[in-house]
Amino acid sequence: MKKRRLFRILSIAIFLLIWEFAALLVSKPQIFPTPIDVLIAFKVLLLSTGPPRVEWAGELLGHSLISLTRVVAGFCIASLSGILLGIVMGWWQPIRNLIEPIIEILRPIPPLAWIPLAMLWFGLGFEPAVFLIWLGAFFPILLNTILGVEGTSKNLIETAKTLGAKQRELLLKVVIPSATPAIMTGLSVGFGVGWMCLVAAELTGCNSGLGFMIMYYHWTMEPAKTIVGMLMIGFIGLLIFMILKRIENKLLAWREEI
Amino acid sequence: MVSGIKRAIVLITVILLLIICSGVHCAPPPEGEVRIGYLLGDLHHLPFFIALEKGFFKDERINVKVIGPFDAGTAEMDALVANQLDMGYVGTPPALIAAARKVDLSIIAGVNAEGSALIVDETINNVSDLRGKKIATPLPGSIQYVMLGMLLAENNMSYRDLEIFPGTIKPPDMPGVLETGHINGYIAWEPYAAKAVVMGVGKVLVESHDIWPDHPCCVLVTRNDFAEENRAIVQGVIRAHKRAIKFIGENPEEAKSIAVKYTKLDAKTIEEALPRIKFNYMVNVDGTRRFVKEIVSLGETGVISPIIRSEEVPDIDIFISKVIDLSFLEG
Repeated sequence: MKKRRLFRILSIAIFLLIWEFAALLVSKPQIFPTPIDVLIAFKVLLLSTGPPRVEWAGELLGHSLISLTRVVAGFCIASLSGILLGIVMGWWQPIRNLIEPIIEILRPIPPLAWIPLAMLWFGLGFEPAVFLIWLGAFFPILLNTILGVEGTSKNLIETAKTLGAKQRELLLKVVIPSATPAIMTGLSVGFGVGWMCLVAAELTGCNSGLGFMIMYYHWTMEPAKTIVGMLMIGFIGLLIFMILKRIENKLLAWREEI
Repeated sequence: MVSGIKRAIVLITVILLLIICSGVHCAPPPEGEVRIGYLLGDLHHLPFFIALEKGFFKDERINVKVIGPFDAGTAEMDALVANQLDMGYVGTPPALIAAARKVDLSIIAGVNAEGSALIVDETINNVSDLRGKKIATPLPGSIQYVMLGMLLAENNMSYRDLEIFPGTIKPPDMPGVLETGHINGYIAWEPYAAKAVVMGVGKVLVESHDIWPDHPCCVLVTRNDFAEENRAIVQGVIRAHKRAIKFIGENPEEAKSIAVKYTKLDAKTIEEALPRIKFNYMVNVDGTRRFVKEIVSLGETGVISPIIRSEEVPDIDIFISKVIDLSFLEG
């Protein structure tokens, strides 16, 4: 374990060293800043006044908070709609036959392609961004839920039926618990995709958020600050992934006992 | 036989003489290729469109490769840094910002003064009505973004008092977005200010002339390493550029139809827009110096992340004398 940690630190250190040397070699800070430039930019962004409504948080954390709010909102709507529709489609075959063709067509369209429509329908700011994040997160959650519901053991269902379980009890006490691992996988994949849609989403007429911040400093020719924004997206993504993993392990502790 | 050889010698001599004479009498002007960038449908760049259309660059034996159009000057300066451009028609602030970031470029000629306007819907009747309203601008650091900041500062407001959307809507789309009601106004270069007026979806609240009469606007810039190696080409481009500006004054009707062709807008919009633009190939040095001061002070108010920091331009006079190179214009 200790050795592994040592290797991790070593790997990052080597990476930073190569980066520093490469940047010094290019010696064009407008294109390729050094890690030290990025560190300085990080400090500046941490201390400068934040975007409107979150001035107190500083620029970097303020934009991060706004981005998180959008992603959480989009993700919550996607979870709710994805899980509900997934259960319905997984349980009642006729409904599934009815909806599936539409899903099949819409699913492969990348969320980026929806940007013009998102702007026309929802205008600027919060709503179009949430819409795009919802689009990204919805399909993985839906498909995994359908898979989970479908995959409920026939034996379990038959046994419950023999014991007199009604449709409602069957769904709530047998099918949904059995589908939970698949749903959790859908949620973490969905969150990942939603988070990745963020930059695209925040380009749709937003004036705040990490995606906007990245572009803003690209336009004012300060790539060090752009890199800080990118790294922040990476770190927050990683953090949330770890939290989701922990929740999943806790919720599904029974899996190991079986 | 002898007479045949003699005739051949005479013929060859004549041909050789002709070749030498032609070389002496019309020394070949610079010949070469230059990549020039410009902004999306920007009417300020009409001299460029005219020089292309009327073959003024070709007359200088320069092959111009048109790069772009760019959404805003800051994006164009990115291309210049990345060595995708040799010269560019661009707003003064993006050129200054790039120079402050140690991009090796020079402003070598003027293009126009004034020529932008703040367009608003019916909910806004004076500058103080802008408070809390959704206003779109071209990219941060563009001339329109900076001029809006100046207007707000004059009226004891800042970007923070408005809901500003910088760079999220391209100028050609701004009139349409204004019509949908998702924004309350926008500041843009012509002809996209005039377009909303002609469409009947907005009115001019403030012309950039009202913010700062005769303010410098677009300029012609070049990468210094390119200019050093290709002085004759740069001078040729400037000659064509000067000729085009003269042409606009002398042939307003034809200039208008070329503007329609290159911006793909209707004649009515162009007619509304053109009087707001003052074409001039001279560089407004004092105006440029004031722009640096304005941009620095906008940042110092702390309302936006400073676009040019005072430590980047410790001595504005030295900075200006480095950025502006009038030698090509005079040559």
